[in-house]
Amino acid sequence: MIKATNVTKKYGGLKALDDFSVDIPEGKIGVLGPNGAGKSTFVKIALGLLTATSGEITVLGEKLTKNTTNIRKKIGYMPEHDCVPDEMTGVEFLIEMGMVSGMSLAGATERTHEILGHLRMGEEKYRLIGEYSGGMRQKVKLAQGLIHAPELIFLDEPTSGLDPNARREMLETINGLTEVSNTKVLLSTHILQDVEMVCDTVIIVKDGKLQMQENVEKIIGKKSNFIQVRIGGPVEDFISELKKKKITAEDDGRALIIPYKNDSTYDQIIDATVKSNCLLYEMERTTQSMDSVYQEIIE
Amino acid sequence: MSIRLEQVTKNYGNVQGISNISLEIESGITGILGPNGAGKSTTMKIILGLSRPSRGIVRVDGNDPFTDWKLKRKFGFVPEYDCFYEHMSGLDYVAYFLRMHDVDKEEAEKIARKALSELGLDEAMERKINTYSRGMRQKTKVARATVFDPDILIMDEPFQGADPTTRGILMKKMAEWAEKGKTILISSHILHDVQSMTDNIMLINNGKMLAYGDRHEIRKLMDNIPRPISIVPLKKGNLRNLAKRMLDEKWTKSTTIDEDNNELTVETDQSEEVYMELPRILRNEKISVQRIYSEDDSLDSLYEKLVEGAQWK
Amino acid sequence: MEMNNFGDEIIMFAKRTKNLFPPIVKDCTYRLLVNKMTWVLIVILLLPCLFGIVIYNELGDEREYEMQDGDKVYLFPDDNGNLVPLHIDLRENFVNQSDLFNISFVAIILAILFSSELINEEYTQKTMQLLRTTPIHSFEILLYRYIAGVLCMFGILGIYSIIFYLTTMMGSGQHGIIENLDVLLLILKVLLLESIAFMGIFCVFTIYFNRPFLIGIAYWIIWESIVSGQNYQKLTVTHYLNSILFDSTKEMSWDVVASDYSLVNSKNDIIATEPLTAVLIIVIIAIITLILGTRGLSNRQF
Repeated sequence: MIKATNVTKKYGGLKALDDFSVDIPEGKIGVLGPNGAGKSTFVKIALGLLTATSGEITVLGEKLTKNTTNIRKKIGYMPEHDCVPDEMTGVEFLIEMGMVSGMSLAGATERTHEILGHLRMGEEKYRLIGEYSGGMRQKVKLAQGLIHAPELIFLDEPTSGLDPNARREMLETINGLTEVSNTKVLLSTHILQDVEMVCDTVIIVKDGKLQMQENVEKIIGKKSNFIQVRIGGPVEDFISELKKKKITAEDDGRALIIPYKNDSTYDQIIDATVKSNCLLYEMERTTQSMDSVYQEIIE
Repeated sequence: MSIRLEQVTKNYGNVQGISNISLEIESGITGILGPNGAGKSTTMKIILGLSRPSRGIVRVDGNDPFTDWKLKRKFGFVPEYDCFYEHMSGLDYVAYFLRMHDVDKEEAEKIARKALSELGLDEAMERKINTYSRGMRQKTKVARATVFDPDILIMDEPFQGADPTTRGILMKKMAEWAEKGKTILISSHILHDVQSMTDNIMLINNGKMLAYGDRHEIRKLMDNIPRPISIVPLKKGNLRNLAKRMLDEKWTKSTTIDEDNNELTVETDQSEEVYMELPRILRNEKISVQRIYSEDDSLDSLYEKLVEGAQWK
Repeated sequence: MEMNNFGDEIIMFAKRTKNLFPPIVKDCTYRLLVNKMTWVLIVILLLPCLFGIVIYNELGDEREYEMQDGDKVYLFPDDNGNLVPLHIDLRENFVNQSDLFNISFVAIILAILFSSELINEEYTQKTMQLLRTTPIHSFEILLYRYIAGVLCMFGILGIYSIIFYLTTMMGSGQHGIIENLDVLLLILKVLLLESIAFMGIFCVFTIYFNRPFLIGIAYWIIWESIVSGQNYQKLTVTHYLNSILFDSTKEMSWDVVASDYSLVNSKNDIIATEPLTAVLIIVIIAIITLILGTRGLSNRQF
């Protein structure tokens, strides 16, 4: 989908991207990295908003050199900052955006209602954007990026400031939309769980270099060597039952953490629960989280 | 350190802030959750004495925070919005508020420098705040609120706009402070963050408190909503046997088998019974399992049930 | 017992001054001096000075003079053609123009601007909310800001007055400048009192009203400009400032009457206030505004 070879971007003496190479497969890609790590520079170059100082970059099979206007038709952009006018209705704004990108009035109207339908916007679409809630504003921003039916959409912090329900709806909408239209996604975010929910592949950028490119399911499926157990009832008895089996349980304040030796550890936990007359709320091998992977790479 | 709200209602003109909230907050971390405009910030402002309840009583350490200005030495407040003297450097800003806490000049600068550098602002602290990124601003706010070692920390969306590294640093700090016995009240839209910090939550919607306490306990009280409990046996062959065995029990409402994930889900409205009996059954039937969990135990799920369900009440 | 506690509190407040006062005054002064509007006003103020220098240069040296005790005293012909010392005429220009420019017009705008920068700006930037979660009394929040405001206002107007005095009196030579220093001191005294009173009044406006600028201008036009010339003028600050001006100029045996400072009622009776009483009343007004302001600050909800 995006291929960069030895891309360098300098701002004065500062190297925002330093010999950056990546080959991103098609699909939904999450871009992570600390502020000022080169993340947004990379994205802007890929969108054709900036040109690289040196190196080569290919987006959707097209080399980005002079024909960057051509590529923009294939790319949609949902910026992080607020970019919607308060004094227009959602429908008016989107039709206008459609016409700006070269559609006829009829075409733009049809497309607007199609997208807003997918976004599950009801009568609100005829109301002024100024009256919208945060979640609805974000939806209009998303629709604006999708109006010209791009092959690839870049989402910059799409869930920032949204409350949990609005956030979940936004992520579900992104997932649903991309399924319907097969649009490819480039998602930049600070919230790692957004990446877990939406993306297939994650890349981490730091110090102008690619630090990691990995399949998301592989990361969060990786099991650790601990079993997390939540117990109700006489917990002390449970712990001493385990001790008899030479197993130490550590209380991290919320759950007991028990080292995993082999599959028989599970049986021993069950046995200890029964002997100590406890309730067993939860028992599972802890898995690696996106957070720990990220922290490891960044630090 | 005790915070107590008794039937507190707060209206701003005809706009509802919070309605009839009673609670007692203890030391450790408490997460305040709810949609935008639910009344989270209002609750915090009432506790901080920035607002006075329209009805009801607030007491912090037995005193009224709105009138007792000396009480405020106990508070560290991180507001949701920006609140800076933009022309100051981060260091000056934190030191300024230390001076307001009656700390001498040299001492103030020393403590401020230490607090900012602990949060990773070594290079930035001498620069003016109006050049700061959102993450740096967030850290500066936290440094300002915590530098004088308050007993009560009230943080409104402290992770907003912070990158994962910053979030990691802040969470670690909060865990340390909670360990020291401080009372920390924190609101966040990222339920995952709250879940990884604390089990103690307060859920609020439309100004009403929907639930308060340990999230597992809260879920237990909601036994009218059947709870799915999932079991993953070690051997796939045991899946059907186990399902059959479960159906013998009166507390099983239904079972679902997910062959692909090798998972059996039992729906029940007597979950405590299941948690007690399940280990015995497994042991007697000699079925080894590698995972027992409930989808419903996540904060996401609890939030969804309470906040969405509440609209129909 | 009660009194004892009160005494302890006062001592505590006093002790804290060394930590509260310097940073607040430093920050406030900085904010007032980098404010663009402040400099616009300073430029407006300096225009008459510039004008004075231009006129001085144009006059060239056609002035007549005589020597008194080795000093050059410049003279000019009065309406009757008699030669009188030039500085007598110039000092009157100085007082009248000070009264017109820095005492009323610019000073009021400056006071409104400063109070809104000191208080309102902190509401907008939300730093006031942080201060209200800080263990300091609302009185302290207000008092130190007020003092910074008075210092800046008096500083700017005072320095300006000195410059204006020099440019106006330049024409009468060194002798004239030295001879009339008491007039300069009088103006400085009035400016200080004015700063003390108006800073307090406008601080109260910013604390209690959402649009302090409009209310402030309305107050000045309706109250300090119109009522101050009428029967009920004792309710205005301007009356007391005028009383001091009138009394002092009379003391310096100038040729003034009460109506020059509109200190008369509709029956043409002189209603000037004793200068000492006037000073006292202005100080009392300032204290009342500080108390009112403190109440407003501590009752403000966010």
